[in-house]
Amino acid sequence: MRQLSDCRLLLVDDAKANLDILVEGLKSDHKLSLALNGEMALQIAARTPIDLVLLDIVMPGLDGYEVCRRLRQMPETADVPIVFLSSLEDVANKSRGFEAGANDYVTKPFNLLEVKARVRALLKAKAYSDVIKEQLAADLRVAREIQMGMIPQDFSAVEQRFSVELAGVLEPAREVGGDLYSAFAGVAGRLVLLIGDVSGKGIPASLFMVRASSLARLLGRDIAEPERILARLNDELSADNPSGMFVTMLCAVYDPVSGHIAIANAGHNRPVLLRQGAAACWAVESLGTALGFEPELSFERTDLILQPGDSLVLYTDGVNEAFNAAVECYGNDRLLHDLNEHSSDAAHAVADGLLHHVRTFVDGAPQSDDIAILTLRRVSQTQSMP
Amino acid sequence: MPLEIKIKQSLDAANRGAVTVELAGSLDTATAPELERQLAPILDTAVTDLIFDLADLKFLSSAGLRVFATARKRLKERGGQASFIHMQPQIHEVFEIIKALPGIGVFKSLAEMDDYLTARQRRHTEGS
Repeated sequence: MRQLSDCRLLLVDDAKANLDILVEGLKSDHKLSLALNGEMALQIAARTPIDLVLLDIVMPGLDGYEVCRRLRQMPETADVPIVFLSSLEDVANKSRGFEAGANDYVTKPFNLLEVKARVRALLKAKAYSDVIKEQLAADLRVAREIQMGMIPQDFSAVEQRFSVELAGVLEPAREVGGDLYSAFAGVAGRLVLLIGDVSGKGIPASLFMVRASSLARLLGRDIAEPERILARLNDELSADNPSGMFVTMLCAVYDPVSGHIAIANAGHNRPVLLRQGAAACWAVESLGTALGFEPELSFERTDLILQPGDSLVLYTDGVNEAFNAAVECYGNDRLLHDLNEHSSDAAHAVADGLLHHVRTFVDGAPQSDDIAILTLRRVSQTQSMP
Repeated sequence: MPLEIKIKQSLDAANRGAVTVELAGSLDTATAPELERQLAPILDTAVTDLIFDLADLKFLSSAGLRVFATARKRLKERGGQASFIHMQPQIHEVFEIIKALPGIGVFKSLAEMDDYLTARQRRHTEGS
């Protein structure tokens, strides 16, 4: 933790005599920067790291309230303690100071011992909160590594074994997220695909995601029918679920010999079927109930044949529910329309292309939900696998 | 978008013991905790029927669904249910993934729900 003597205070007052008193009283305890007006204070704060601001209110030019508001808007000083030092004694002035974003308010004439004590208390509180923030950030970095480790990065072995192309994209909105996907060998030479989205975001969602994902992989190795994989997973997840979390999940089981693919849906976004020369369409109509609410539910199953060159696009609602700055939603219509462009593309071009379409649509608006895309393509017969 | 929550004890003789919750605005990650907090004391009473009037609910996220699903579970345990009326199309779409659960009723109007609750009450009375 930082030493209090290493902390730099910014003292702002238009009366030099006041600054002199503060400098005399504080110079042996902390590093000091001085400003005689609001503009100067903002300039200093922009280029010098400041740990606390002592701020006069009545000054020519920008007054203290305005300086305080602007400091709060600057990323460098957004959560630096700000203490007003003012001769304005009214409760109304004090409350206006706190509304502008101040942490404390001391009236003039001040007692130097009191100012010093308040400065120390605020600096200590800030140092503790910085330590906690750093610890949390470090924990989240490791949690993210663990979670990303559960998401397959390299599909090449699976691709060769099942004569398919696979491509995945996962972009959590925060350090850790609730989206998951997986592709692994199932029963009797079949390939199991999963994509899921846990309710909520952040750490709670990521914990439930890890539980759902691990269980799904175990069940998928032993059960051949996707609707039964989901039913068993639902029983497990709803058995102990005090927080009422849930996960939407789509499960597909693919037979590389016949091209047959069986798909079951537990409340997840409908996957898109891309077929050369045909319009992009939903591969599955039913939505079904999400997993985790209630045991002993059953799930519908849809059977399709993937022809060579056909793709199945699975995704989470970070895609179709991406919002732009005008709070418009990307939506299902755009999704189907944009995917039409990619009906003859390789799996990675479909996944990257869809992500590109969504990014173009949101045009820099902050990402509010995790984004996951998983594309499976049956390799065309003219194309030889290495 | 904020969420406005209005909770009313129903005085209608047809559905005694029912509490109506009117929601307006957005039920999402930011607003769901407040709804959860306001529902908690109601769910702790003997109330069996919660009626959510969603006429002015504009947006529903998975965090909001979780609050509905939790209420449903508590009510179902005591033989009641969570009913939803006046659902907008965009809300209906999100609702799909929980609407088939036992303990949830979706009705177009108050009249349709009253008919259902009256019939259920009659069944209970005749059964006892």
